[in-house]
Amino acid sequence: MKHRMNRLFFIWQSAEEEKWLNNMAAKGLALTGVWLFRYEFEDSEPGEWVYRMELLRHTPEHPESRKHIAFIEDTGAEMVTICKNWVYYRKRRSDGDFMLYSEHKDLLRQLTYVQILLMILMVVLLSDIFVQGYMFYQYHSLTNAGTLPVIVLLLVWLVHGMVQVLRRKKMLRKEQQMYEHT
Amino acid sequence: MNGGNVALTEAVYYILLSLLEPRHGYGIMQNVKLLSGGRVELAAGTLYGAISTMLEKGWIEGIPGERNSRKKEYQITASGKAMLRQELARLEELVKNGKMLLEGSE
Repeated sequence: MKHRMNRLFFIWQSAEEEKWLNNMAAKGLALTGVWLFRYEFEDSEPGEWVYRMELLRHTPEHPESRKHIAFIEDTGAEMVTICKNWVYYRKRRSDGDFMLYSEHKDLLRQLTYVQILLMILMVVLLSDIFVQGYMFYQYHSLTNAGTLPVIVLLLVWLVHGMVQVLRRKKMLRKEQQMYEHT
Repeated sequence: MNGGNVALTEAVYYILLSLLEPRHGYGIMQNVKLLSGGRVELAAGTLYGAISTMLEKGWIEGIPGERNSRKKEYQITASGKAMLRQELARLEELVKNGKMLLEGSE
């Protein structure tokens, strides 16, 4: 039986999202599809699957991404679905531990991809604020003034996300100086 | 980096050791776990990154697969073996100094 749920995670909250998906799997709801904040599950044995997700460097159609996903699947994991550049994998718990990354440098690289995405979004929002400011200065026109508070709020939220990512990176770098494995 | 004075990560060291015989990705993961008595468990994404880097450096090479086989196998090259020997010498130095100083202090 199919179940649909809506849940919003931001791009810097992949650890929380992964934890939620594994909690759902522990209850017998196995993820089968994702579209932004809409998740689709099917019934399964409780705890049958372990889910992991990762952010691809390139688009999913890129040959490098295809090669990467095929390699992960060759190691016994199953690619469940892709949403934008996020790939969701699963593996049966009975097949042993399932981790995508076992070294700090790989986790740091994943966080760098998130950081780049956040920076792009911030630049887009800042450009919009700049354009609105310029229009007001030049023509005393505030055609999209209603959107300004929303854009500023979004920008503040993205800055908050960036701080979370930077904190996590700092912690990983400290650990990296002492240990090889995560 | 030309391998003049480098320290390999545990993962790279064990992957190179595993590829003294041709193996595919899952085979490498299993062998590393076996060699380390279950202590080192390579994650698939980490292994993919390490293999790509080692291919670029020429320490390992892909073996052309059979027509019906999707899984690609890899094996160590002469330059990979040289890296392994160099790393072994470094590890021996670490162990020798560790034993000498620690046992001398007791």
